Amino acid sequence: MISELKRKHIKFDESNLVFITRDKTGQIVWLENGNERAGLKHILDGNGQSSGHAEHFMKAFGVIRESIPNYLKDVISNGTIVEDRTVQLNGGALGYSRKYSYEGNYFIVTGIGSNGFIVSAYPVRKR
Amino acid sequence: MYTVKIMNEYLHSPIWIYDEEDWIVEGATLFDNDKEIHALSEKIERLYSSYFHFGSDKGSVWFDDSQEKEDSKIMLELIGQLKVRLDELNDGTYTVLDVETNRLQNL
Repeated sequence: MISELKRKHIKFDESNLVFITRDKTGQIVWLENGNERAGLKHILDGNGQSSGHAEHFMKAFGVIRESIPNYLKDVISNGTIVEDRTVQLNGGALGYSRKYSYEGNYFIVTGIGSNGFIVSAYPVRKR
Repeated sequence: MYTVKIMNEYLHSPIWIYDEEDWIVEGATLFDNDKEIHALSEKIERLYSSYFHFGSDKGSVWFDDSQEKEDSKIMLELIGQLKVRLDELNDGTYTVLDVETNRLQNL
């Protein structure tokens, strides 16, 4: 998949790559360490104004902080996509909001950039 | 009682609804039928999400802090309107926690 991104000239930071996978839309998506706005650091610890979602992953799935990347990869790779919203923003850029159903009583909702970069992910309780 | 947190996030409404156990409640029906909440939420979501740029020379993702600062008055106005509407609708079912206004004012 890395070679496919390179072949398609999709920019990504290989040195900060946490995981790369393909979800059931067929799109390659990936997670980088990121920063407080986007990526793993944002998912775990939020943006400084609000806490992140590490605790929610533990409460929902019993997944400890260090295991969240692997768990997230499983969910995205194997989960059923129950909602897939494509948003066209100003300037024509696309973004994807996807909800995955994997196990238990919780969904994982993600925000994915136009290139496949995973910006955010968090568990939500099923209604 | 729910907590309605106002917090900007990529491709998410600025409204996050938490239950008493601090769970994000998906599809809570608190505001499903309110057109004003929907319209404001969509404007705020789209504005904030527009600051994210992907696959440019600046890397896989970069956030346009300068544009956010330039737009901060617009965002503050929208969030202000959102809070007014939330107050109008509040029947005691929720409290509002705004984590954005102070942050935007200090940009």
